[in-house]
Order: sequence, then C-alpha cells, then structure tokens
Amino acid sequence: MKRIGVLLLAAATAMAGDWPQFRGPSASGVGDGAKPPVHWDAIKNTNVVWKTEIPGLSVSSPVVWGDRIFVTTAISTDAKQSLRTGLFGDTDPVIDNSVHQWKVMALDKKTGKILWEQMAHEGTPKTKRHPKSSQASATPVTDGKVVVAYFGSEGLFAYSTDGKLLWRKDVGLQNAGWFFDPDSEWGAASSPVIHKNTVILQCDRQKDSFIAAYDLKDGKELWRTARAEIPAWGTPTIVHGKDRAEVVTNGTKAIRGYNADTGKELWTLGPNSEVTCTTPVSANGLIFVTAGYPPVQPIYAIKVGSSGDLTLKDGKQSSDAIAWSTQRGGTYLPSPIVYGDHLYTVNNNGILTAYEAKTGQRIYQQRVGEGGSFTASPIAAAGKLYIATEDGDVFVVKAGPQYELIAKNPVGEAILATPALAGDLLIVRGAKHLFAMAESGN
Amino acid sequence: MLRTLLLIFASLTLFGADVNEELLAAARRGDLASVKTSIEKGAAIETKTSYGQTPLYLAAMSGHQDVVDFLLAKGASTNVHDTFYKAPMLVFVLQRKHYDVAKALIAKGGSSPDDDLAAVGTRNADMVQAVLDKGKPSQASLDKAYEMALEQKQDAVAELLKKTGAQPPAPAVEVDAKVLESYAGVYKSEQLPFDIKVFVKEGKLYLQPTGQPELAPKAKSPTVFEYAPARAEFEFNSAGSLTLKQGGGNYQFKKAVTP
Repeated sequence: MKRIGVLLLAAATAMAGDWPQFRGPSASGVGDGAKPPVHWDAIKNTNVVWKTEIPGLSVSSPVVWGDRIFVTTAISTDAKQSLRTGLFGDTDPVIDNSVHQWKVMALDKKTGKILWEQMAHEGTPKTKRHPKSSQASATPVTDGKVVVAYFGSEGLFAYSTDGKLLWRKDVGLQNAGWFFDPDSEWGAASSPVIHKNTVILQCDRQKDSFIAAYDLKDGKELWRTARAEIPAWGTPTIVHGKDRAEVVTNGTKAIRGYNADTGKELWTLGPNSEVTCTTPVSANGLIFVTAGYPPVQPIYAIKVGSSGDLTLKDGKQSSDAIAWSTQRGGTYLPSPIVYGDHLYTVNNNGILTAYEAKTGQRIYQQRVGEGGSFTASPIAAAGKLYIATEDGDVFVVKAGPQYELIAKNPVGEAILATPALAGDLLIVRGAKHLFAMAESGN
Repeated sequence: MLRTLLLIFASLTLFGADVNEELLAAARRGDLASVKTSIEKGAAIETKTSYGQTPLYLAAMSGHQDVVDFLLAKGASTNVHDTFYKAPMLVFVLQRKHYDVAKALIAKGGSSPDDDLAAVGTRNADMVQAVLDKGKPSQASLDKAYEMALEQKQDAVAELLKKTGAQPPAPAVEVDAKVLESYAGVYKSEQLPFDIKVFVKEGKLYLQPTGQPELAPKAKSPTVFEYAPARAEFEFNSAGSLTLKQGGGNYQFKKAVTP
C-alpha cells in the first residue's frame, strides 16, 4: 500500500520536462534544464521531429505532462474562418454564427500522433471573438491526472489524462470585450491555473466579474470572490510566499493579490491600463506585472508578501511594497519574462527591452529582426530567449545584458500561441499545425 | 418629514439614473422605440457613460442611422469628445465606415468645419466633400489638410482642397549640412519607452523611433522639424537634446549616443 502511495505521488509531481500550464511552471516561461534547438527550418523540414495538423482555430498554447501534449481547439463549420494577423487597431469582432465544435486533444510527445480527442461542446458560440483571437484561446492546465480546458461562455471541462470526461461546469456568459463598446466582444482568454486541489479561474467581463476556485475532483465551486473589474484577458499567477500562496491578477481597476486557499483579497495596486492582457510573473521575491494600453503602460515590481493598498503616492516610483515601477514601457499582449538577472518585455511591434530585474534600470532596447507583429509571449531556456512572431518565425536571442540575435527560424505559419518547452523539444503551435523541433530532429 | 423627503429625493435620483441608463443602452443597440420612451420618461439627452459617450455618440458609432436622425432632430450635440480617447464621435463613425451617419453628423451637427476636417482626415474624398459642403474651413486648416493630402498622395482629396482655396505648402527651410550633422545620434527619453535615432542621408535629416519606419520631417526652421502625417514636431533645443511635440504632449529626449 505504501508503495502504491509513493507511485501515485510521483505520477502527480511535475518533472523538469513538464510544461503544465500557460507559460509553463509557475507561468515563468522558463524551462529549467530544457535544451531546445537553436536552429531549425520547418519549411525545409530541418530539425523538425514531427508536425501534426490541428483542425480549427486556436491561439491557446500546448501543455505537456510526461509523454503527452494537450491542446484545445474550436472548429467552425465555416471553413473560411481565419485569424487576422498584423498590427491593427480595429475593434469590430468577427461574427461567425456557424456551428462550432470545441475540442480537447492529447498527442504523443515523441511522435505527434493524436492519442485521443474529445468534443467538449458543440453549438453556436455564445459570444463573438476578436479577429486575432479564437473561440479556444485559454490554455489548458494539467496536474498530470486531470486536464482542465476553459472555453469561456461554453464552460469549464475536466478530463482524465486518458480522455475521460470527469466533469463540466457552466461559468456563465463570459462577454469579455472592448470597455468602450460592449458590443465589441473579443472572447475570453484568461487560462485556468491549478493550486493544490483546485482550479482557479479569473473571469473579468462586462458585468459581475469574479475569480473562483473549483474542486479538481468534481468541479464544485469552493470559493468565489467578486471583482469590481471590466474585461481583462491575462492569466492569473500563483505566487508562493513565505507563509502563504497568493493568486495575482492583472486587471484594469487594480492589480490584485488573493489568498489562493480562500479567495480573500490581500492587496491591490493601481493605476493600470484600461485593457490588460499579460500574465504576472514572479522571480527573486518580486512579482512583475505589465500592461500596455492607455492611459498608463506600467511595469510594477511588487514585493512578495505585501498587503493592503499598495498604490504609490503621487510622484513616487517605489515604496516598502514596490521595489520599482514605471508608468511607461509596459507591454500589451506578450507577457514579460524574468530570466537570470533580467526582466525582458516584448512589445506588439517586436521591441525587446531588457531591464535589471532588481532595480528596473533599462539595459537595452532593440527591435527583434525586422519587426512585425508579436502576440506570443517570450520563453527562455539554456541561456536563450525564444520570441515568436505572427509572421511565422521564432527568433533566438542570447539572454544577458547585451542584445545578440542568434537565429531566425522559420515555422511557416502564423504563430500567436506561446510555445512550450519539454526537455529537448520546442513545441510550437502554428495556425494549422503543432510542431516539435529538436536539434537532432532529422 | 426629512426622512420622507430624503427617500423621495433618493428614489427620484435612482429613477433618473435608471432612465438615463436605459437611454444609453437603447441608443447603443439601435432601439429607436426605447430611445423615444426613455426620453419621454425624462432621460437626459446628453447623459453620458463613464467614458463621456452620449446617446448620440453611442448610436453613431454603432451605425444606427434612424436613432442618430432622431437624436439630431431632438437637438443632441455632435460636439462631444469622449473622456478616454478624447476623440470626437466622427472618428469612430468613420473607422467603422458608417459613412451615411458621418454625413448626417457633419451636415446637421454644430461642430466647426475646422473640427470636422480634422476628424475626417484626408483619406476619403467623399467625407472631405461633405465637410466642404457644410462650410469653408479656415485657411490654416485647409492648408494643413492639403499638405497632409499631398504627403499621403491622396490626389482626389488634394484636388478638392486646392479648388476650395488651399495654398501650396511652404518649401522646407534650407538647413546647413553641418547643423544637420550635429543633430545625428541616438536620443533616449525618461518619458517614453522608445529611442529616436537621428541621422542624415543624402543631405536630408531623418528620424527613426525604435521599431518604426524612417521619417523624413520637413524643416520649419534650423531647429524645428515637422512630420505632418503624424502631426508631430521635433525641436532640437540645444546640443544634445530634442523635444517631441505630439498630441498636446511635450516629450524630452537626450542624446545618449553620438555617431
């Protein structure tokens, strides 16, 4: 009996090669011990281990546990539907009232073979989507036993890693859209995260926003906290402090921390952008939160364990709770990353900026490649940053105080989803395929 | 008695807020019958959302022609800027290509031809004609729009403006090559998250903000350069500093790298 208990525990503990949620372990974007390839060319099939077609449209990221990769997708019966890439400010949503199928799929990490796929829901979308987004934008999350997929207004679905539906939960209409015109629906995108035996969901919408925790076992709501918020799209991050775990949320009215066990609000901080999309990251005792829409584009470095109203007094850029901050330079879509001693941000137009993570001192600012449009968040491993563009390339940049572009690797399809790392593999979701690259891919 | 009065006041205030909310919602969804009912119930025609949008603003940006016509007939103001983007309603109406609504706002609205011309820009000759049909903008507005239309190679718009009396833009001021060279370098700002590279190519001054295309501004004086399409002005204050003036803001840059 004791032996079985040990085996079960081992099965549910993330290993170095796992990438269990949006941006991997703790949403850091960092693959400790991973050795992804530096060079590949998916068009010429160089260093491509496998390539698997994934039907439908989705900008959600792949997640990895053990020998399996999990992805979500939404398949419209209107075959003309596509993602609109590029830099544009249009606010009108895509109107696609055709029947969709929302699916969760599992693939073999070694071969890319589809092991199972389950249709979570079939019907007409309850809300519209942004032209650059999809009806399956939230990244699934897994603890190695349960895979949870969130499809906004279509609900929250939990499967065993073998593909058995464990439970489903209707979380209401998730009409996230433009604050200026609620008819401009852009669709939900905040991804679920797992904390202990719960899955936590940030639901910021036009009315009655909330954050809630559901029992991983059966989907029962364990706590719910109302949020005085308008729509937001960032994924919450679990931050483990000295004596508590907190859920950090990026929101318009305030950046907030909640007790991850109870949902009790611990701290708030403003001001923030009117549209928030990025995910907080935590490293070296600090929590970094950025946003890139008017009226302010802040970067905050918040000390872990702070409580109360952390809003800075007029003219101040730091305090007992805020190590440093700036009201300019925050990024809009790609989430920031801390790697080594540096905080890196990538703007929508491909401007990479490096800061001293401890002090906020700007080290360099450089356009990556020839620019273009960037939506995926940067990830890092083995001393390098991986930055994907909507144009279908992944740039490899040397991490450190000086900018050095190492490689530009074609994937051949638009990339809006943040790639995943798994050991020697770099897993990239293009507009139509999932790719696995490795240095010895051929 | 006081308690009763307070309760009556509170319920009236609540009632006012409710009908105003109803009016805003009805205008946004294009529900003319509910718009009329809300106004009959006492809703304020110039009531605003938290972003400063009036019922006319909402109906116009959503392209609800019948509601727009009704509200204009009721005297709703077209001279409304929201509090977030600080944009006149025409901007969103045009962005969403509600051209008939735009024409109604221009024709029946109370805003000046100068404001209307600034809002419609120089990329749609039909809209520029609608502004000119309403009244002649000031010479300064005409000239500025004409210069922009020429820069953007909008020939039809340029021709319209020229016919209305726009004067050709003044030629660029000749600036000594040594002065231009003295401006070259990379400028950094504490206020803005990008650098500006300044350089001279074939005797002309160019500026390139990080991640953006090269800009070729026109010299208005040896120290002031204007880039009309972005309505931006660059002033080299003294050796090593530069002020970007755009959208009502002044942003300071200091030269960090000299070539």
